[in-house]
Amino acid sequence: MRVPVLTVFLICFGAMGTSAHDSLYNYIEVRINPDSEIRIDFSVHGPELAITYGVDPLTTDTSWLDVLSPDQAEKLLDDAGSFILKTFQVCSADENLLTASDLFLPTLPEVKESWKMSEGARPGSFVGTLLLPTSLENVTFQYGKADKRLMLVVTRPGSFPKVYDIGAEQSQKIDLSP
Amino acid sequence: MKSPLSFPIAVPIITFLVFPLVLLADLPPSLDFEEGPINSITISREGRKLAINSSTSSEVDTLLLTHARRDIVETAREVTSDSTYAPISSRDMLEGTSHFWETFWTDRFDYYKQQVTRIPTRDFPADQYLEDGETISWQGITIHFVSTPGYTRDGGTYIVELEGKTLAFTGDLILAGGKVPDIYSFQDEIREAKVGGYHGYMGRLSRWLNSLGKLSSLEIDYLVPSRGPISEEPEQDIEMAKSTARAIYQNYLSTNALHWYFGEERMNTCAELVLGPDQKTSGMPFAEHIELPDWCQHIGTTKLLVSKSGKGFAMDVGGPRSLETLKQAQADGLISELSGIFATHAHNDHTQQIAEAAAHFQCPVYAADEVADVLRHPGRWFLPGVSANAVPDTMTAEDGQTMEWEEFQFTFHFFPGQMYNHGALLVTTDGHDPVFFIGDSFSPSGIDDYCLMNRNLMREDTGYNMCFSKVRLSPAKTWLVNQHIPHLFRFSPEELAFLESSYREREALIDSFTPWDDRNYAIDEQWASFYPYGQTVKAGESTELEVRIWNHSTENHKYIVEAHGIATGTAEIELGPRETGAASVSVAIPTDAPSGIEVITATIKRDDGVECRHWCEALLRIE
Repeated sequence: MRVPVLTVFLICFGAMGTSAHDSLYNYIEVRINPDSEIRIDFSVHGPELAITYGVDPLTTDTSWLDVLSPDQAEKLLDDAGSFILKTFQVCSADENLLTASDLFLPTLPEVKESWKMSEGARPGSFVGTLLLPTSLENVTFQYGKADKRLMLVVTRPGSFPKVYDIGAEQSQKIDLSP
Repeated sequence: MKSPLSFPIAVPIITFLVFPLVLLADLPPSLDFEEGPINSITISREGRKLAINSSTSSEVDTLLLTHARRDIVETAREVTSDSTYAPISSRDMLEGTSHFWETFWTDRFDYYKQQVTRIPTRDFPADQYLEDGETISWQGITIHFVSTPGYTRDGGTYIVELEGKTLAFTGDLILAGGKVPDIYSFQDEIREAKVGGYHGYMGRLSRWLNSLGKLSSLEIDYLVPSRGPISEEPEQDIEMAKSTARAIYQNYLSTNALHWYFGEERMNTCAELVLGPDQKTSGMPFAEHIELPDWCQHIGTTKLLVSKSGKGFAMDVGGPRSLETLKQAQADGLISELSGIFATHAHNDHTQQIAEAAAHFQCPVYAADEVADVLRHPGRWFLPGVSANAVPDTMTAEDGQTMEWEEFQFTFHFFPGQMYNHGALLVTTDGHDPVFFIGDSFSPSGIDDYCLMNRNLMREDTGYNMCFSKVRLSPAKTWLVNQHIPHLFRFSPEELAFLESSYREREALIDSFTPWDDRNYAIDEQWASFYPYGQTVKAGESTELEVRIWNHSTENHKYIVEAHGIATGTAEIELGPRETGAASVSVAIPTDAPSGIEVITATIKRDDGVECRHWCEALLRIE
């Protein structure tokens, strides 16, 4: 069964964490709310994708993107999208819900505008968002071949976040009930 | 020949005293070499002189700079020359000092680049900058410039043939005996492994090894460094240096905490770059680890203890999301209050939101003494990742102090693991094995000692040796918790013994790799440092600055501090073995001082001849 999926891709600065240590993990946050779609944010530390442009992979301020040409920045966005698609699978009934056709990449001006609006985002990170219908009962996250661990955080109203620490090429089934 | 007591590093003095006549007899007559804090190196031809970095002649025809470290540059500044040459890689440091220091006033906070800040206080532009392979003609001599980064990001070696001997003027690249001046200068990113500067322990080793390889191919008769004696056995010293460096790095990788996060791929890339193709890391298997107990929640880098009555107690509040989650937890009734916050250590991902959280929840903040002052007065410190957000009312929790909180018993600890300014909290409660919240000091794969600027002192009385001891002496079956990791973990006795014995092996290797009388001078960039590091003053005001000195030696020493810049005067302090103290210097800000950043430096002289010029700095922002 093909499930309707809407994916929005944003670049954000400033939020979940504050420092070089944020790059220790890749992050997925699953937000389950009975009143709206299930929201899944994939967070990737941007400077690690930009080392070929001379960026320190632990850079945490916003200056590193300024040194890139517009073409380089655009390519970086493409690379980030490709990384997410290559690294993460979100499966329901063996169907990968995260596909290239669902992925929207903003233009560079949109990216820069999003910086201003995104106070509270993880410094230097790219965030891709996947919205799923509430009718889904569960999904399985398959973490692909990666060079660091994945922190999978599931949040529900009225509960503490549930955290899963996942190694490369491991999977985790998540109950999506509110 | 100048007295060898002026040589800045103690052990080679003895070596030099034993062999000087042999050395002098073989040196080309046109070379004048005198040991000093920065060696005086002068070549004379037909009444004209050329100097490398420093010269006892106040005027020379040509001055060659090997790199732009502040003590080198400030010494070179004393030499008047018609033309100055420097590596192209040194240009930014020689010409960009104003910009660097002006921006460093703010860049010093949340700082994760981890580069030595021994930048010149003002510009010293060269007349010509050299690319790798370029040559200079001077008085019939051809001087070959070889780019040799590694010990520093910049750096070059000048190759000169004099009277049939080939000499390499190496600056700080390598010292006689196959040593280097220190370890911390090598800290840098390892781009190939996607390891950033903060995690890049000796990250420039591969570049340094490449530089040494260049010298090995040149059939050099003498290595002439800018510190310590001349090497008469270049190839032997180079091979010894390479071998020791690789052993240190292999040892580091074998016990490293980053295996947990980064896995084999990145760590093997690190290994291959330094140890050679197909070399792999061989860390220990992950220690036993299990899920956190129900009473401990993982929220970003915050660990939240929740009592049976519904009260909360937080370890660290780093990012805004952590604070938002704590607020939401209270709004949702998951906790009725936040009773207190314990700051494990001074990095911003653990402290940035503590002040706001404490204000919101109206709760006290506790920290080990070594952490508390950084929280109260962050501008007075320069350490990796310190947040500018002060926590003025932080309460000091003494080492060993206990506290009851709900059904839990707390024991506060000074725990100088990941960084010196670090604490830990042992938590016991009925029905569960004890849990030791050790901040960021260990992961299930080992030791979080990847950043040399964190001051991981390798002393028997502190640093990781103290942490090993505290872990070993903790109650039976104690679990450890790292703030970044949502698990309990604990080392078996065999694993802990492996970590400790490996660490001691590395201590011995560093002893043989560096020339100091105690390895900690080579590990601890801040063995002499200003306090406060930064402060705002007004023109016409006076202020006092401390130079805090850690006598890492196991002997008494008297230290003399000479201040430079708008600070003047000297101060003395005598310190016992392993003792720390402070010497104060006065600063009178001229009434007509312009607004902006003023850099004050201090030269440190030790009573046995160690002299470190312009070694540490303080920043004054004049309003």
